[in-house]
Amino acid sequence: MAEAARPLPGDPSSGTAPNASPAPAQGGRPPALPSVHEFGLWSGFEGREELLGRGLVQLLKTVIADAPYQHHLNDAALKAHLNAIQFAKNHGMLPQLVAHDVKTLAPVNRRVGQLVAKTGNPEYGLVGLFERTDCWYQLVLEWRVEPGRRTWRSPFHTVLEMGRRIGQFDLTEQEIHEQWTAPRIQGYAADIGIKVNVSPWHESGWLSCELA
Amino acid sequence: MNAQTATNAAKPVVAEVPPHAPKPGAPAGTAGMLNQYKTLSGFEGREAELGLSMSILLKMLGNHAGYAHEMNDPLVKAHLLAIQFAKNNGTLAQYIAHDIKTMEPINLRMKQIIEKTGMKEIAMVALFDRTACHYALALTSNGDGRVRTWKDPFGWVLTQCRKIGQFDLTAQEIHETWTIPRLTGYGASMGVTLKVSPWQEDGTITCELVD
Repeated sequence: MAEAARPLPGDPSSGTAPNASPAPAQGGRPPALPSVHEFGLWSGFEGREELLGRGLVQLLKTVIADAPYQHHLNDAALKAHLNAIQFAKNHGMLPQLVAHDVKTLAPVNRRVGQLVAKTGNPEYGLVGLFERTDCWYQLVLEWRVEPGRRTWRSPFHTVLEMGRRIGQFDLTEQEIHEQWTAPRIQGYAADIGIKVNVSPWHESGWLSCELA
Repeated sequence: MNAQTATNAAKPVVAEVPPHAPKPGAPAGTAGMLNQYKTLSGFEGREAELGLSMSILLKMLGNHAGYAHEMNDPLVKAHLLAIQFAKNNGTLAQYIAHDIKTMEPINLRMKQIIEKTGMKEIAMVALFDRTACHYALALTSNGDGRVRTWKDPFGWVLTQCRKIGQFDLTAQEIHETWTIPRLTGYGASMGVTLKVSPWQEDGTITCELVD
């Protein structure tokens, strides 16, 4: 007998299709058959092909750009942040920009705070600060997750170095960490209702935030 | 097996194996010729970078929390944050001047290239096709020659964020008080005159080289 080309979902002898949830066995009965929809294969991008295509084009254009330095996906976002930080610094308004940023994010952070309060689990707060927000994970490309602690490599070094060479910025990564990143994280955490310690600047650029 | 089949077996057909078109910047000589026979993606040696970027892209597009996030979401928000801050403090004009000055080292270099080649369209390539700061923001950017068109990238995020009181800006306000003066300022640095379309309700923006 010829083997089935693709394992059937719910067939214990043939495993489960990669994108279908395994149908649970109930009281020793054979697992339920998949719905017609579950029986198909789906990328998750059906109906959003153009959006996916546009994202891919942007990604490929950015990663292929290696002059005068290898561009990363965060290039434009880094420059937008640096532009604003440098402007605020030049006008003696960096603490006000940080306060404005924290206030802008307060509606979202307070919502995360409700989840922390409801569950009693401050780890939700760290997830809200780091893994869940694209403003973090699209900006910071090197990072690690451990319970109660997040570690990352400051993302500004290459763009800052290139920009400094042509006089665009006089900021340093340490200055950004101490006057922008750390107070923002502390402000966000306060709105979430968790206490965190942000590491001081380290020459390696590797920094951390942990639940206090 | 007849006689004809036997002859065919003895003399196999030689397939066409044409070289690929040479890639710009490819090495000359033997190495370049060999490379023309390779099928290259252009990302050789950058697999980790590509994989990491793909992972971020899939995360971004899989995020429906509150609203469907597009790839430019963090960049749009970074700009909105700064524009709203400048507006609140009455320093939007200074912020735009700061931005134009920050971009001057690059735009002045482009001006030199334009003067050397006499090709003013290079200004359009520099502003729209070459810089991630534009094409990462305006995901619908298209056009060629002297005209580029894109859809306002701020309206979608603004609509969502205004609901929770994060911004009071409008897409039209951003177009008129930030996008237009920045683009015309960049054009002036490059020694060209640009005309940006007035705000249209469907968000379509056009920028044209007019000299």
